[in-house]
Amino acid sequence: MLKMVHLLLLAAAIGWSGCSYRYYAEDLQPLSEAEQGENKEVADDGSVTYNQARLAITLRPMTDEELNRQFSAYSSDGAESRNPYTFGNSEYFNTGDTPKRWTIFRLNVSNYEYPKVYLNPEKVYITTSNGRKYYALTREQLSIYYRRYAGGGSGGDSPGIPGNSFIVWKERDGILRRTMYQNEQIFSAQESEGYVVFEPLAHDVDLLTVHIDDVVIRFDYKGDPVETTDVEMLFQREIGRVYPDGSRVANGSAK
Amino acid sequence: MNKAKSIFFLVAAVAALVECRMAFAQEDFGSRLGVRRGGELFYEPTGSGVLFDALDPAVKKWYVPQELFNEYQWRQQDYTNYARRKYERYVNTTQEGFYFYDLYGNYITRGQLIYDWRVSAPQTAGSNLFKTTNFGSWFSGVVIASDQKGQYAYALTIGDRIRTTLTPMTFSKPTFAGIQLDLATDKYEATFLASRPSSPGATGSTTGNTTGGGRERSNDTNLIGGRGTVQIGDFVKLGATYLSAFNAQTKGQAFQGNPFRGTLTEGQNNADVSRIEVRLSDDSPEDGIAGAAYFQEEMIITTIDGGKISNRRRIGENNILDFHPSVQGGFRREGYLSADGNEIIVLVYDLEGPEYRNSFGPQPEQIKSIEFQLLLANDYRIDVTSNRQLNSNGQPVLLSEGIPERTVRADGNVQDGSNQRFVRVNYGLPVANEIFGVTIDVTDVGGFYLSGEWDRNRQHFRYPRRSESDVTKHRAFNSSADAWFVNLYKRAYPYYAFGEVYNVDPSYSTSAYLAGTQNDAADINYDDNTRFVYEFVDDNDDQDRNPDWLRSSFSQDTRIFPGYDENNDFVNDFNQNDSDVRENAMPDYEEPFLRYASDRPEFLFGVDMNNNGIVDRFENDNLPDYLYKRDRRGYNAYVGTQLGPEARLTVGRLDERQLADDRSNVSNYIMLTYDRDFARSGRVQVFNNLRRVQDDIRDDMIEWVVREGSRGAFVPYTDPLPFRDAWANTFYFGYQYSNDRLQFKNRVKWEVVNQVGYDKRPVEQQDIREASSFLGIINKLDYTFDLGIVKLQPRWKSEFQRQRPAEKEDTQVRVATTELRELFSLIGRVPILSRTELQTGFEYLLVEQYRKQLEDSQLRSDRNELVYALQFTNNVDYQGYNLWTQAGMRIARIDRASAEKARTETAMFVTVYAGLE
Repeated sequence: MLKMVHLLLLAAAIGWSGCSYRYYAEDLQPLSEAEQGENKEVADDGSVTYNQARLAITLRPMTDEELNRQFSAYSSDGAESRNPYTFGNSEYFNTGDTPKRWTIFRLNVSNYEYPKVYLNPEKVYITTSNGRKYYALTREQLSIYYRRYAGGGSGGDSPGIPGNSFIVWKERDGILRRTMYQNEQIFSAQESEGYVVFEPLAHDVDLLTVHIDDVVIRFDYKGDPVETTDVEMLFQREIGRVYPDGSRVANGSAK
Repeated sequence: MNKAKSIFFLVAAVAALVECRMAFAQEDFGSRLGVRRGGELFYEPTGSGVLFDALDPAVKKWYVPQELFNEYQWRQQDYTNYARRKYERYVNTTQEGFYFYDLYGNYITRGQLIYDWRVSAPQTAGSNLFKTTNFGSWFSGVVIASDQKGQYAYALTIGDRIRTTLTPMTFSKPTFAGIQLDLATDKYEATFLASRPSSPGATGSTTGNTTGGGRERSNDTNLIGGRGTVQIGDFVKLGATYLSAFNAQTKGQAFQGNPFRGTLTEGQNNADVSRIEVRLSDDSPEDGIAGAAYFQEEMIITTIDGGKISNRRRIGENNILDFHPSVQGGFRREGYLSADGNEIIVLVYDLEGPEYRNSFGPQPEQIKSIEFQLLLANDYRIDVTSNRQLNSNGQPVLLSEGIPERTVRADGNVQDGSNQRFVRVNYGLPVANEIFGVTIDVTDVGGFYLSGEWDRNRQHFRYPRRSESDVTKHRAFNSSADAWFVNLYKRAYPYYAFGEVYNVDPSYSTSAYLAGTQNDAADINYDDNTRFVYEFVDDNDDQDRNPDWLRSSFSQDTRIFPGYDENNDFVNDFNQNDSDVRENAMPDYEEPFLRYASDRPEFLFGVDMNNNGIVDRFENDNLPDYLYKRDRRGYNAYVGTQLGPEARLTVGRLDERQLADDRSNVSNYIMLTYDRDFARSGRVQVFNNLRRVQDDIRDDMIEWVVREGSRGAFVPYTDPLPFRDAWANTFYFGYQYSNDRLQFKNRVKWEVVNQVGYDKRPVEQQDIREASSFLGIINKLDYTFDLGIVKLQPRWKSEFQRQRPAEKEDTQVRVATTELRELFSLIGRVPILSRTELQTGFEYLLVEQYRKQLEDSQLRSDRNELVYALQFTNNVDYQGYNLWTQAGMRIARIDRASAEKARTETAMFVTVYAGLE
């Protein structure tokens, strides 16, 4: 009886899996200038720039390939790859895939207009057309996330982690410190650039808006903000299904 | 007289010439500037030279170095007047370092000795291992010499705590103290290990301490080993491993015998064997029947002149030795003695007793080796000891008391006598443990991955004889055991498969006895594994820097909770606010306010392949971390398929058995997982694991239990064998939804284990429930809203659990309970100024116990709690630190049905933290 149940279940599973599919998602692309709204420019490299006089805020979605090239020395050691923005060339245990680790945008602020401006990268968030919301991750969050990779266990009498793993952890941390968008004021004639990191987008996200709220462009004598602006930029991507025979069927809902 | 004058004038003339030459000769530098050969400078030691400049026939004493004669001329004893040029104290020039020369006499450098290990033979205290204090203070206990060019690279690492793994079945230590030489090219990799684990070298001062800290030893245990791999083509990597920990002494001649077979140390060989005890016992004492069935014995003595004498038969020209052991213990059966259950049969061979003397057997000092032939049957276990195999109190002990696998066990658990046979047992003291093996790894051939390993362990022994000074002539023998496994898996989509076949013999051992750990001539205490056993593969289930068990030279890990520290902060995730500097003895799921977010560990689930009731990833045992446990042979295989991107179905079978016992684990399992995050509706997770299990292999563990009043402690867990013959199903359903304001989480875990044929089992097999189960439901809801500047968060948590553990008897850790907890709380936060916040809130907990037996339980009876807390927080940057200052209070009223009156608790605090981030 048991064998029969097993066989039936197995047969059903095999039959079902015959039409198994996986999700795929292409890289993010900006919507057209007309759809972005006022004061926005869309460049050929896929970036969107918000201009307010000579203040420019530019956002560009980064692909894993670009990030691996950007940190090529840190992206070829499998699970030890120190590129904190991608999985490098490591492979997941069961599937052998290399999934997307994060959703990364390169944020550039160029201030040739105001005495100083301030953009808090931790307040940047994404909303999607299907109701999801993603907040930008802080460096502390990422540091704790990568601490798990350093191993070390319960520590016993003298907590500590293997030095080789510690170096990987700290190198990742160092890359994040160097390359994440800095949480600081940008004075006149200064530019600031860095990455803003979000959790990987769900497979069903095809249209999203990046919200950069409360960009402070004027301060009072105490340093408190008196004039702020909100910036929104829209991106889209093609999503769909890949079937075992390799055929791709797009959802076709991307606008 | 004329002749004398002539000589005088001749000498005067020569002296004048010499003086003239000296006046114009260049300075004689001696060896001070070294020797330059072909542009290279050498400072080879040349000894003192002849100083022509100083050939001055004067009687008076020299006060200056003669090689500086020219500069300082004659100098009488100095008058020391420090009126103008003040006196300066003596300076210790060792601060400037010493001058060191290499083996060939080349000057190396001026500096400090860091590490020095040299072994000289024949020589007393010829093994000299020394680490100066600079090894620790300058280099933190690790020194690396490395080089690289092109594809070739090597690194010589010397350290006290090197994390070294050759293969998990042969050598894996988080704290290897010794030398590791690693070589790597594109195709080839190699590692060479060397260590003196019996006395790995204590750091000592540069001067003195020549014998302290185990620096110099005549007797020691050395470890030599290594591994090499070669890449063949793109897919195949072959490897070979060799390890040997062997006792050695430096008083013997070099190049005698094979050192890897080990030699007896002076401590092991300081007396002759005059009494041997052979202990026969039941290898499966828990069944109480059919232990060792003892029929007959034979002792064969080999003397130093090569003759063999038996106490049962004539061998060659020698008569039968009229000597029989004193047989103690055992139950008399028809034709044999039986050691069932905890009974032990001891055969005592007293070679200095009157019976042996009257038999005119060879004297102990004339005996080269002794061998026993035992006619045995059923489930026997054989241990041998002697007057040379003692503990610290001088009592004979078994090797298995120090290293459990050092024993002879019958295969399976035969009870009908069908395995009757002669078992040959040689007697000797352990002198070496050796492992060699090969590995193969095949990568991505048609989507298949394969890895395999085969290892042979040889345990070497020698029979001691005090008058034999040549350590290689003590009679040597060895026993061997194998371990091997093959793993094969395929990565594909949607189908995947995995298979593993393995075998680890019961006596496969990666443990070696250490000689000379106490002092140079001391014997080994064979039952003391904390000081006299060296492990090739450590027990380190939590994979931290400390081995879990206590062994020589290292302290024991006092906190082991694998899997319970997912954020890797070295704190148990169920007592997250505990730290060494501020202890907390309340698990988070019981602690006011924290208990809303933290759910008790009973709600966890996972794969439990050994069916002992503990999820494998949380297991902490007291065994070396092999890939597969000792005394197991079997296979496990599964196939699976993705059912779309969110679901996965896996079907598999595990079939393994114990080799030295008649126990097995046969599991057939189906596992279904489903995980989908709906964009607007939330995330749904479903897990179901249905299995049919027949498992009577005991897998005991050590649990880390956090309970009220304890930060966490080790609690031994005896596997109750809850799946002896059972159907089991674990079902989990999780649903959570969250947005900016609302958090809604729900979990259901339902686990059922139903025994098959429970009523037909004997009473002693009915110590577990016919149906054990756990049903747990958790619902949590919180909502955050703003009321002006005040943020308010009402919270509700409902927790129901009905637990019927496998064991009928409640334990402190596992209690049969049916209880409902309802938790309501309201938290308010008010920002004050710019860096200050006031937080206040109350919490009401209602616990309803539905199980009558627990209505009077102090911990689990009905109760209600009302807790109020107020907390003031200031967070500023202060002198480079992120300063957190908190002050507050907490008041609680706890009313238990089991207590006569309600209890009130108060806590007040002012705390300052200096944040580093």
